[in-house]
Amino acid sequence: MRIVLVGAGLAAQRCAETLRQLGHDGPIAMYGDELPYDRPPLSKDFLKGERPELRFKPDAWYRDNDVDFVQQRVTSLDHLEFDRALIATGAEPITLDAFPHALTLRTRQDAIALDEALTSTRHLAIIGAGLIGQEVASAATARGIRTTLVDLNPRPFDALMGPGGGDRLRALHERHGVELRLGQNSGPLNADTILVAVGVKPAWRPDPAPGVFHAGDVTGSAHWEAAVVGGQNAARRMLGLQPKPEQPPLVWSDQYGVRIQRVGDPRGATHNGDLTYSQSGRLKAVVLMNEPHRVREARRDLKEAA
Amino acid sequence: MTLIAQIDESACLGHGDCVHVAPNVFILEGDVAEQVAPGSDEALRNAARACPAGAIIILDADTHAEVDP
Ligand SMILES: Cc1cc2nc3c(=O)[nH]c(=O)nc-3n(C[C@H](O)[C@H](O)[C@H](O)COP(=O)(O)OP(=O)(O)OC[C@H]3O[C@@H](n4cnc5c(N)ncnc54)[C@H](O)[C@@H]3O)c2cc1C
Repeated sequence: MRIVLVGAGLAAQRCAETLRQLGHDGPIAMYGDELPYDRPPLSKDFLKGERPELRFKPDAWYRDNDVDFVQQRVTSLDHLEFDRALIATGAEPITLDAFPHALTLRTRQDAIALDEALTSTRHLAIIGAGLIGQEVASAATARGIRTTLVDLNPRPFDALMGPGGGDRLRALHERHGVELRLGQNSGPLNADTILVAVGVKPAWRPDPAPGVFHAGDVTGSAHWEAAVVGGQNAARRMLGLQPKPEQPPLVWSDQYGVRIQRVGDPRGATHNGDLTYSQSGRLKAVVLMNEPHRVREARRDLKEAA
Repeated sequence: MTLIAQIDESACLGHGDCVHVAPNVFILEGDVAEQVAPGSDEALRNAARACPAGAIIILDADTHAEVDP
């Protein structure tokens, strides 16, 4: 069986690893811009001037596991020969016409450009207070840069922290001197660097077809763990196996030295007041701030409540 | 050494952060972490704190009771 992976990112990498682990010994071809690498450090360590190794696996891994990397963008499946294909092309940052010279943050090159721009920035404006905007605000204030964080949504921190739970994260930004302009248009920004971080749109994907699977950000999932699980489960389905049992999803973020971990899905649930969320009396999500040892307990509680 | 680490394989997703902070102690074997050498208490605590998935459990070596990293 010939397998083609379109998009060389986290989801495709985990799909390839799982295929080999499960004993698939037919050809695997992986199409993309460069060998897969990890993105979360781009808004964390990278903006502290660190350059950690981002690649998931060294060149030898692809050779030893007979995964054929093809440096090429795919724009149609027509000329590709395969029995099963994975579409894992990820997502692209949304840009805003009003800010044609603004930076965005998705790739290693973007992160290097932002890091360099920050060395001479006195005032940074970030449009969009999602996970990436928040992490960049944290990194920029740590570098002593005046930072304005703008969002049309009056409660943007609820997206990560859960509905009604964003106040503690908001307070953290305020305590570190971030100027928040929330629930309004940005108005005039006399910043010398502008980062647009208003979300992503799915990258290229073909029309649905038999034998073609999807995983990762191209499906709209937008989080690391979902790309891993999606890639692994795509591999299992390609080989006719059941997907792994579902776990409560986990999202993490590092800001101002605080590790935030959210287990479960708080959307549509009610805040119990202690960063736990319930719906119809059932626990739906737990958000932890600098309490990594409680992740397991949270997972257990959520499974029991399910 | 008064602490030991245990990896919850059902929770580990192969982020590799334990390998970054304690490179001689943990490796990624396939896509899950494995402890390959003894580590100092500090190294084990750092690895547990670094793990985004909360998959490294720290135990008291004598009592095997779970302790906060
Ligand atoms: C700065 C940053 C910080 C993040 N931090 C966190 C975090 O703290 N916590 C968290 O849970 N998540 C975080 N994420 C999200 C996480 O990194 C993504 O969810 C994950 O990378 C998705 O993996 P993927 O394989 O779907 O897509 P990607 O990693 O984007 O890989 C897709 C690949 O496909 C290639 N490609 C695109 N189109 C084509 C085509 N037509 N043909 C061939 N190849 C193509 C792309 O070049 C890309 O390399 C962060 C993301 C970014 C950008």
